[in-house]
This record gives sequence, structure tokens and C-alpha cells, in this order.
Amino acid sequence: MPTPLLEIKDLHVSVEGTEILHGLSLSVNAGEVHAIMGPNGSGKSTLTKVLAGHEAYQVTSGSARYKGKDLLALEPEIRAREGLFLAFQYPLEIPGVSNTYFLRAALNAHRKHRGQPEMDAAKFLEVLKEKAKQVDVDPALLNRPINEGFSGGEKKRNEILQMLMLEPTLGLLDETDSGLDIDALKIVAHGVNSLRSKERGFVVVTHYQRLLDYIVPDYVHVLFQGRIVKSGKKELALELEKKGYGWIEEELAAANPGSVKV
Amino acid sequence: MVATETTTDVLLAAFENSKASAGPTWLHVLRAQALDAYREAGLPNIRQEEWRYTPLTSITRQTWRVAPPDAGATLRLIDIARLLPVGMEAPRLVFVNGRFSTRLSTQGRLAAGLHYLSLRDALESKGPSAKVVQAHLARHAEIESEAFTALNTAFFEDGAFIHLERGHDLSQPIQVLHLNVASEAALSQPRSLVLLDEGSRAKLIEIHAGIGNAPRLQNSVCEIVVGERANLSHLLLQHEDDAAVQINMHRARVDKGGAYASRVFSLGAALTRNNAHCVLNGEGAEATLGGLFLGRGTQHLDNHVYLEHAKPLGTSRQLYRGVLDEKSRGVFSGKVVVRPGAQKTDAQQQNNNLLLSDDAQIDTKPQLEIYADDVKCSHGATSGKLNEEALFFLRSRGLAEREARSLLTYAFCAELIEAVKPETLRDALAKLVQARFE
Ligand SMILES: Nc1ncnc2c1ncn2[C@@H]1O[C@H](COP(=O)(O)OP(=O)(O)OP(=O)(O)O)[C@@H](O)[C@H]1O
Ligand SMILES: [Mg+2]
Repeated sequence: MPTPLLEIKDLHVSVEGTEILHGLSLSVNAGEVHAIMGPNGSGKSTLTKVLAGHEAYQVTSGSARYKGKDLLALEPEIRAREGLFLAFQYPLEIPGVSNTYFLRAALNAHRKHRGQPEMDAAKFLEVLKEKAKQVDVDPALLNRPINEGFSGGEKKRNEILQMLMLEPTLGLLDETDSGLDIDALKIVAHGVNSLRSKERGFVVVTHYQRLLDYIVPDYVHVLFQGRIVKSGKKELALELEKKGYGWIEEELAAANPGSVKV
Repeated sequence: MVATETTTDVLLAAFENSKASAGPTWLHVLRAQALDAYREAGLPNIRQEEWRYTPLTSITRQTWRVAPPDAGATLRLIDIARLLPVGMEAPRLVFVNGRFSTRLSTQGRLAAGLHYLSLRDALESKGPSAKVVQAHLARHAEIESEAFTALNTAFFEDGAFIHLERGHDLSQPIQVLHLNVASEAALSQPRSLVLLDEGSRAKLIEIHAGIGNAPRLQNSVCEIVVGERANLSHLLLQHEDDAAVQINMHRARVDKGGAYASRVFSLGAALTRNNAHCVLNGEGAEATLGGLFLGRGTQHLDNHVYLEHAKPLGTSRQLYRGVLDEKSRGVFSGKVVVRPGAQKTDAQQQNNNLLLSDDAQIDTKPQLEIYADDVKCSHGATSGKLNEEALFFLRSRGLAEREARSLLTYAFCAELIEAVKPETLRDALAKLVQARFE
């Protein structure tokens, strides 16, 4: 067996003293796409943020290894430069910081980390324009401050644009599909698919099976009350779409009385 | 206050021996009145509301002398070049310790309608400027209520005199550099007049800077009149350090339909107190006042703004932002007064502060006093830390924490910098401010 790209074991995570993830395990190999579904508040964003290194989320026990190394020991920026990328569920507006400026600084930080020379401004703009076209982002938006005055869909496409520029090894997409119209959904999915390769892996958080028609996952997991309680192939997503989460709750209660509040 | 009394006596003796004691009779009378007013009032103290947050210990703990005449004699052009944000091409008046330096100044090709010289030269001139000085000096700034203005009026040696005649439009910005250089504790008191006649337009860049480690106290007063439909854009760059104490009074009157824009960039000093006093004195007059103040170490930066709408249909915009690091302290006190009858006034005032450390402190006091009923006024103040989520976002894209912090801190300042014109000046300011956060 090759080393998994991402291997999470029995991860417990708390926010402000409240435990949100109660022993989550997940293994993602290079080349795979894993979808994570689950009801609101089950801990999906918590998982993606703790993997990206957000300080508000404290790991109280368990481990997460990335390319065989202890991911949790790395600063967020080192995780990023090592190829981990999180597309946020709620992209922030950051007044005063231009998209173009920040993205070039980010890209050059990645390149420096890999021992590559900086990309000059002209070359950068050329690449940026090309990728912006790919996700249908108006280049004029990019001179504006990060996400300032962007529509909901533009913000999501901007996340994907950043991903295309940084070409991560592990992409974590947190509900990138929510708020997108059907055309934008296809564009975003196409952007993600263009990066799929046997070296790369993706964890795609979504509430809707529809996205998975376009980004076809290898595995689907159900995150429920801070744990992965069910895993399957892409058909599981169809079943969830049809039946909701009630039946999973019932299954759990039957298997393990008292462990789940019904 | 013992030290202060000594300083006054020292100043008096120095003054009587100096060339400044020459001059017309009306000025002698004015100086005597000012000295009386100063003696009467003494230095302000923290028991006075306007000075509550700004103790003057950095002034009172030592005796100040005027710098000897040869201080700064060895300064070369190259020493001042780096202090001029738009470079050596634009015309400049350079004052060293409050005294005009012919050697370091240049008038360039003097534009039509422009009188641009030292105040003392204007006073001594045979032309009309002497009369103009008499008509305006200390007619706008108050000596009775402002002790520092009184002190300046009693003892100033020189300063800039800028007078643009009716209808003239200056294409090039003009620069005034106040440079303080001394080998021991020295006080300088520049006194300037900026007068724009009806329908004229000008851009003024004023720079306060210091060289050396000896304590420097600058107590400057600048009186400004923006005539009917005239337009003055005034940028003040305070490029100082921990050896400096700066007390500044900018006193502006804007006549009917005139517009005055003032932006102050304070890069930090042991103590900075900037008083901006602006009266919209005619219908439809406009003022845009703003400033960025950056403190670190134990620096203290105080911005006091008084803006008065005396006549109807005036517009005023204020945006002041402070960035305070380490143990520095900031003060913002802004008062907008709308006089009875100043209907259709549109006034906005905003102060935002960014505290980069737990030990940094800001006292902010935006105030509105409205005596007219048909007006649109708003004000607000915020103080906070860097947005942790934004910081995380930038780091999650690969930016080092330091870089992310510096980017966000600069972003907080960006609005004030971006509004600066021309581009060369804006870029120079951006560099200076960026360098502070690296
Ligand atoms: N920074 C935080 N501070 C306090 N509570 C938090 C924080 N982040 C998450 N939580 C709590 O943790 C729980 C899980 O939140 P999380 O955002 O991970 O859910 P989610 O599965 O992504 O939900 P959704 O589908 O609505 O996006 C929720 O109860 C939420 O209120
Ligand atoms: Mg979520």
C-alpha cells in the first residue's frame, strides 16, 4: 500500500471548549476524490478548517498525516505551500488588499518554498488572465480588493481561481457549489476536474448530489455529529438525496443504543 | 512648571538678541500681546478638557533653547532629497530650525500670480506682500485661547509665505520642508501663511522632519485662507522619530464655494499633537480632512480636529485612522459644530483605529454640536484588532504570518493613501507606510 495522501485517525477537535469532532477517521489516497455529506452543524467545516490550520480549532487527540508527515505540527502557511488548499464555505471580503497582489505574493511564496524563482508580474498576469477565463471571472474584478463587492457566485469562483493558480496536491472544497447557478456549477466542476490527476486528491463537502454529477467522487462519506458514520461509493449520495439523514440516525441508534440523541 | 518658566526666559533672552526682534511696529505690539497671553495661560495641562489625554511631560521635563544659527550649516542637498516625496524638481522652501535656508530652497520657475517666499522676506519686501502679511498674520489663529499659538506668535523667526493671486492655477505642487537639526535640545517655531485668492488652485506639500538624536520640539502655526471658489489640497507628512515633539496648529478658513482638502500622515514621534481647525465661512464651502497616525514604542499621537460649519450648504468629510503598536497611545478628538443658520450642512466624521498590541491604547472622542435643524450629520468611531479570519485566510494561501499581518495593516491605511494625488506622491507615501509594517 502506498502512503495515503491524507490520513486522519480518531481526531477529536474542540472549539472554545466544546468538542465538535468526536474521533473522526478518514483516509484519502492520491488520485481520489472523496465527498463528505452531512446535516448542518455536523462538523464538516470544522474538519476542513482544522486541516488547514485554523487556530480556533483545537485538536485534543488523534492525528492527521499528510504525505506521511504530521500535518498538525505545521503552520497554516507551510501546509499551504506543501500543497494543501481550502476553498472556504464563506469567502471573506478583505478591503484594501488587491486580489492580484495577494495572489502573486501567495504564488511566489509557494514557488520559493519549492526552490523555484519568483514569477514576474507580466508572466503572472498572463497566467492569471488565462485561468480567470477558465472559471469565467471578469479580469476587472481582480484589481479590486479580495471579494469586495463580489456576488456570492463570484466569490466561489474566485476561490476556484485561487486553487487553479496554486495547483494544490490536496484540495478541500467546502460547499463550493452552494449559491452557484447551474452554469457556474459546471464551470467550477470543470475547474476542479482539470486539476484531477493521479498525484492529487480532493475532499469535496457538499449538501447536494447534483455537484457529484459533475465532480464524480470515488467515495462518499456521511459526517454525523462529529464522526464519519457511513461510507460508500457514489450511489450513497443518491440515496441520501432521496431519503435524507433520518435513516442513518435510526441505523446508528439501533446499532448503538443511547449513543445518539434521536 | 518650573522648567517652562525657564524656557520662556531663555526664549525671551534669545529673542531679544536675534534678528526676529526687528520688524514693523504692529508686529512688536502683536508679539507683546502674545507673550502676555502665554504668560497668563501657561502651558496647557491634563486638567483641561482639550488636553486630558495628552500630558506634556516630554516638554516640561527640560529647558528648550533655540538652535544656534550654524546648526544645520553642513546639510547638503542630498540630505534633504530623501525627505522630499515628490523629489527635487518641484519648487521648495526649506526651513532649518524655523529659519529660512536660501541655500537649500529653490523657487523653480515662479508661476504667474504666485508669491512664494519666506515670511520674513515677505514682511521686509517693498512690494504688496508686506501688507498682505499684516492683514492676515494672527487674524485667524487665536492667541488668547491657544497657549502654543501665543508662544509661537511671540517668538517665531520665520516660516513660509504662500500667496496665490486670483484665478491662478498651479500645475506643480509646492513643497515646504521644516527640518529640525540640533546637537542639544532645541525648539523651533515656524510660522506660515497660505493664502489662495478667489478662484485659484494649488497643491501644497508640507513636510516635518528631523535629523539627529537631540530632543527637538517644533511648535508650528500655519494660517490658511481658501478664498471664494478657490481650491487647496494640502498634504502634511510628519516624518519624525522618538527624539521629536511636535505641536502643530493648522488654522484654515474656507470662503464661499471654496474647497480645502487636508491630509496628515504622522509616522510617529515621542509626542505629536496636531490641531486642525477649519471654519467653513461661506456658503457651499467644502472641507475634506483626514489623517493617518502610526505609533510604536511609547509614542503618543494626538489629533484634535475642530470643524465649524458657519454658513449654509457646506460639506465636510473627515476620515482619521490610527495604527498603534507596542505601548503607543493615540488620541482622536473631533468636534463638528454647525452654527445656527448653517442649513443644508452635510457633515461626516469617521475615526477608525487599529490596535496591534494589547498595550496600545486609543482614546477617541467624536462630537457633534448642531444648532441648525435642516442638516445631515453623522459620525462614528471604531477601535479593534486585526481580523483573525482574514489573517487565517491569507496564511491558508501560503503567506507568512508576518507578511499577512503587514498586508492587512497596510490595507487598513490604504483608503487614505489611495486618495492622494499625484501618483508619484501617493507611491512615495505608500512606500513609507509599507516600510513601517514590514
Ligand atoms: N468558531 C466557532 N466558534 C463556536 N462554535 C463553532 C465554531 N465553528 C463551528 N462551531 C460549531 O461547531 C458545530 C459544527 O460547525 P460546522 O461549521 O463545522 O458545521 P458544518 O457541518 O460545516 O455545517 P453546515 O452544513 O451548516 O456548513 C456547530 O454547532 C457550530 O456552531
Ligand atoms: Mg460548513
